Amino acid sequence: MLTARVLGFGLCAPGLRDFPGFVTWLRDASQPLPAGRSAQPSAARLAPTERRRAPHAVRLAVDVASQATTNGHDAAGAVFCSAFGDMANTDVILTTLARAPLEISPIRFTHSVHNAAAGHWSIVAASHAPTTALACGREGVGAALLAALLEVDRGHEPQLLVCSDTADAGALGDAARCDSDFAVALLLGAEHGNPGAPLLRGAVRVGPGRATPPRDARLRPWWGGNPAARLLPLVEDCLQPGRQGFTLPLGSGTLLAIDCETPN
Amino acid sequence: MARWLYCRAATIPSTMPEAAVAIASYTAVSALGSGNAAHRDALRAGRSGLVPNDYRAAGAPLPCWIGRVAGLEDDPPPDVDTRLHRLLARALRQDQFGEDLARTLADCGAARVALVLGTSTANIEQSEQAYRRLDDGHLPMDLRDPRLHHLHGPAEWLGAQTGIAGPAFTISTACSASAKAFGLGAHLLRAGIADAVLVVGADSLCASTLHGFNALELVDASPCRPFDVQRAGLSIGEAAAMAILRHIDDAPLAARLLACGESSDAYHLSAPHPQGTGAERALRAALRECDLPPDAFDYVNLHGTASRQNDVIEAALIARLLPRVLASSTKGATGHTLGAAGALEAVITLLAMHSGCAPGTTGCIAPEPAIAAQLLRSPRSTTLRHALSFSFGFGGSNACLALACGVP
Repeated sequence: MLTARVLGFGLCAPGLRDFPGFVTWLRDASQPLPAGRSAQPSAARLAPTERRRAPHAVRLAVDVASQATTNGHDAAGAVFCSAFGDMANTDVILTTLARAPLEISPIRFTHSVHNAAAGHWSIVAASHAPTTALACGREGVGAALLAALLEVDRGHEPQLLVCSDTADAGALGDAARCDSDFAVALLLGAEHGNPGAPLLRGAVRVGPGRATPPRDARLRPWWGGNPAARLLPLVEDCLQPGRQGFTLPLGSGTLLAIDCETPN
Repeated sequence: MARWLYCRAATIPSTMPEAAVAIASYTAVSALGSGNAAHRDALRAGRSGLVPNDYRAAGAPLPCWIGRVAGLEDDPPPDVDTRLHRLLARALRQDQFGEDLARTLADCGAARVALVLGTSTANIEQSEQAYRRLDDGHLPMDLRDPRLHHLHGPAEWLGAQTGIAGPAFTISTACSASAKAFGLGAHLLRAGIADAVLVVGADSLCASTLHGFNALELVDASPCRPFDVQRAGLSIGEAAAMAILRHIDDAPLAARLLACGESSDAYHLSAPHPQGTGAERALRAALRECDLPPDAFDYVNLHGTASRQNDVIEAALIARLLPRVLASSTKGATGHTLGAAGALEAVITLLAMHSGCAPGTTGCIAPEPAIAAQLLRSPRSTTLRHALSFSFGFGGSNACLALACGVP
């Protein structure tokens, strides 16, 4: 059994700039899901030069990471996860390579690494803590959550988990459909010492993995259309006092079963 | 069980760190050849696998040298055919590795075997092909399999080919990716999530990296010369390297992963920290994890890309922190295999320990003064019981593996 307390949240999605905004929207059942494909992340914590250079996908991930660590916590490490990475940048690079390969932009190539957001975050946070960048497929957030729980288990806490994907771009969207931007971050601390925070208990089980859909049906389009939004049921459970559970697929024959206990 | 498990002229230290896990089987395919014997013999002879660039996928080849795996074109893999899958399929077929993995799956149960794959570009070569013949702005129908276009595709293919049913991860932290894969693999074992972990590093030649590094003016027109004062950049290579991690009780005589130290530079996305502070933190984290002093190590396989910046910083770091440890970079022999480099160089280091021969720094004639006293320019026969391997990547991602020999 792996355990962690959720000490901080970050979220950015079309029409919802931050986690408090998401909570307000979620609690008002009369509000429809905001329309649009693009989120508007804040780049406030990026240095001015980086603000100009950092691509949208990086700004989105760094924004939610920053939101989740605003309560005075310094993360002892970070797991970044994106199924498709910066598809807009990849699309431009592939288009250039097909047309005039010698014209590939060095800045675009530098930002093409999957850990570009992790690298930017470490600079923004002035943190030498280890970070990783995972891509575990359309159902990859379970593997990312497991990796973050393992780090908490090793005493590397609080551990930041950032899951983000951006709306698909260009022909790549034919094989990697992603309907809109979505990013979510969790700051995970040790079970002991943070009694007021939601408690996650995770276990790897044998069985065909099935992702639990969100309870609030309004969230289904994001949950179904963006791999990072597969974490929405966890966020819902953390906001709902009581004890709930859900599952996330891991490999072809295993799943991560999460039990979430949120104090009143 | 492959005979490469066992080390000559070595003993297991009396105090093994708690974090250690066994490396029960391993293999590699690179420009040096296919399989452990080919790598051992080439490294012992000081041979380079670099050849003039004849990779033509994106028009006229750039004027540079590459570490190309010979014969891949005639070696299609099952199911989805990509250059990267060809590398992986070949690795599974050599050194009894596929048989060792099948036995591991039978012993542990498929759901108790995890997969951690490190790569920087996965199957992007297929995305490049698709973009050269878009159909009215869309991917051609024969190149729409999602596994061709996202980073986890090779892991999904490998899982299907091998029957691994446990948790599957793809780490993509540029050139540190597959070194970090060893670290995550060890955590999965220690936490009881898996009883065995297949760790893989794989990257194939592709236009993205050849032209991308060329745009950054980081590619040497001649074969790369790591740590040479006249060095002028790197040579890109391709490779697949695989290892099976087990609990020590399940493979008590095998070589061992003692630690994986990791850190971030927090400095710049593509330039290393000028004082090497991130690399130093990764080294210190590894030493702390395995509770061994620097002098306990007999050899360090350096990142040594032959870029101007990396090598001068790494040379100063080694001279300062590991002054009595033999050191070399093998990228002059294999090319820089990017996301595969961590796993490939772990296998090269294990082979060096097993064969009692530390590799030389192929291509280096006049070494950086700071490291000249300890840099091996040619191979040296010597007993190697403990060794380190450095991997640093864009994004300021650093990893340092600490490895130990098994017993005869």
